[in-house]
Amino acid sequence: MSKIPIFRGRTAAEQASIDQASKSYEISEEQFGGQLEGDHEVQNSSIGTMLPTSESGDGLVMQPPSMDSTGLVSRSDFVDIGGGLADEQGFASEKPIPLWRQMLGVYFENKLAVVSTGVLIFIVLFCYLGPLIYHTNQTIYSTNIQINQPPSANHLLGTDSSGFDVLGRIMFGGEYSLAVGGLAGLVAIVLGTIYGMTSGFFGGFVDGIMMRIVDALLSIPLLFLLITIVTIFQPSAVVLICVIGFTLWFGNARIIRGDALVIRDLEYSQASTSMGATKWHIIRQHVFPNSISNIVTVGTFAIADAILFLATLGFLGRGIPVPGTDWGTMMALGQQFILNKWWWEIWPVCIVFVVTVVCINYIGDALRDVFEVRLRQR
Amino acid sequence: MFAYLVRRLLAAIFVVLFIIWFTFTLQYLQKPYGVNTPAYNFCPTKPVYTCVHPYIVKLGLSQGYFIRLYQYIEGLVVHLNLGYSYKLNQPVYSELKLLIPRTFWLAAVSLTLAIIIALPLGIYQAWKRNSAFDYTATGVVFILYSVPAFVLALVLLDAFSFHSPIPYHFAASPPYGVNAWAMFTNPLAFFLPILTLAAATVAGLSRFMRSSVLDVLVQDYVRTAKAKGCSSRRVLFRHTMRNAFGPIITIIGLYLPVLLGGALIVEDVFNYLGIGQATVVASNNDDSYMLLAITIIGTVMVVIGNLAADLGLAIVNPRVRIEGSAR
Repeated sequence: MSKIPIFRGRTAAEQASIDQASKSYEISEEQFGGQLEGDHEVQNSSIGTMLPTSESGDGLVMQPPSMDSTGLVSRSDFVDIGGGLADEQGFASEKPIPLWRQMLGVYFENKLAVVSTGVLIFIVLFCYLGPLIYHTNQTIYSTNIQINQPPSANHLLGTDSSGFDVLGRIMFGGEYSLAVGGLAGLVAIVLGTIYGMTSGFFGGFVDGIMMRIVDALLSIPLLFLLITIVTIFQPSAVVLICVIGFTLWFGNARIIRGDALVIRDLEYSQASTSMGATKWHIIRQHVFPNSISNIVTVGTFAIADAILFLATLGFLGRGIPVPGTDWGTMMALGQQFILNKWWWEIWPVCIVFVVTVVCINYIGDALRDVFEVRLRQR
Repeated sequence: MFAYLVRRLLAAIFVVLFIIWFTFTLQYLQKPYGVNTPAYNFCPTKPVYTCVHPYIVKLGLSQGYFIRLYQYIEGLVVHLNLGYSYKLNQPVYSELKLLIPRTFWLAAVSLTLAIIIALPLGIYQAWKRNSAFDYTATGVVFILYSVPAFVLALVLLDAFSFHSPIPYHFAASPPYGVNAWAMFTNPLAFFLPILTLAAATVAGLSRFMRSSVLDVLVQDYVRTAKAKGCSSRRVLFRHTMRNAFGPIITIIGLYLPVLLGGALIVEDVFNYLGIGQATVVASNNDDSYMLLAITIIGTVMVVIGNLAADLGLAIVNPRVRIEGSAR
């Protein structure tokens, strides 16, 4: 990589000296009163909306250095045109809170998100560690006497039509559902990011072609496409991960492409270009770090969607094949007995599944708010 | 307006050609014998060269990729030949010709019903925003939205069978009938599928309706209209709704693929004969050629719906009509 001076946040010592400098500056501003205000209007209008790079270890400063000719930090470091945080608190009165701490604060303010996170962690532990505590047979089909039993002390949620313990079955199916759904969501977001970034960054003709392809893919009814592809490749855990991943990225690509298109035209990207940065460098240093927020948010929703689509496929008879199972397949089996009022075969797994998807969606919502912290500063 | 419609039409043709190419290429990826799989169907007990080869030649499978692609496109576009289901041993079209209108009517009636519910709901929510009604409606819609279509279908199936609020077992008579008009002659049998699909659609649409109306309500021209003394009814119907319709039509156009997916699930749960149920049956039969044809049909339905939405957009939005600039 060519050596290009890139601002990576400040060390604590640097920050302290800057604070010191700015305090003295503040006093001088009081003395001069409104006279300086006019000056700064000009400076303000010239700054770009710089976003922090993500790699600094010791706390990030929100704004880029726009040193004036004296080498001091000008007021435009802290004040933006819209009048954000710094404007109300006065001029750089205290050390800025590190970005990640602000984000964490916003996340924990959202009670729903905290509860959702807790519930999701519980469900994951329930699925992966539960079988260690609650031992059940999930491999051998049982005899007639054990099938469709209502809940009892031996089987806390009864047994299903193959004689499997339903509670243990939910754990067993959950292992597949969560793992396959999570990995498929990951595939979707990685593909979407690569495609969207390429399209948005290069723009113009390439972008036109690539986005028309996404438009075309988006007008295909996704479920029909998914079933067709799964049938053609024959379902297995790996095939399902790939197929769901490969059919869910279109929407993600569009969102990330929008980000990339904006960021590559921002002032700091242009500045990098003017200093001789390569395209790869700009993607890595500016476009990618600054679209992380959308990538994470969209990725969370992609995981929820992937779990949902896996369950839908399972429900339609194309889920994880035996001897495995997933929540959708369990629901399809339980559906046969819904008019027998054998509630334990259908509703518990429905509830666990819906709660999981809703929790992930809430977490996605909260993450979107968290990343809005960045926008609040503007 | 003409240039705009021509551009949308070209885009639609591109989409259809793309999906035709895509499904055609999928034929080559079938398990276990690739494009030769249909020939092996004729030799289920003896999958050997001597048995299979005559069929490969007879079905023209040994021809080159591009020759076959050309024939495939020609067959689809010129002769409307959707292909041949080797599992059922008959043309796909003869299987689907009764099912396509049934699915179309299911989707169309549910979408109409959903729009009739969601549109006034969204407008009223936006008009009385942050009121108790707004919060309640948002909450209900959120619950409907978070519950996947098939869970919703199961809940409604349970609720309207033994626990039916009126003395009628809705699940007892399946939504059969010679054609889609049975929907209107025997509405009770079709009540559950339509209710499920409409509820799922309302959940998908009404949030957008609300935000679309809200976006218009904060515009300057609405404030001006209020300032010059228009009655609130006039502001709502004359200034707000006409402007909110544009985004709503676009959203409905974008929602069509989801609607068809919902129809697939509803048809599966309620045993409604349609292309959705045919998809599930074909999937469990490993009938790839049927599935590929259905994917093309579904896409064409969505594309036609999108074209209708574009036309509607041009009608309600003069900017699109005159400049042809809006997307």
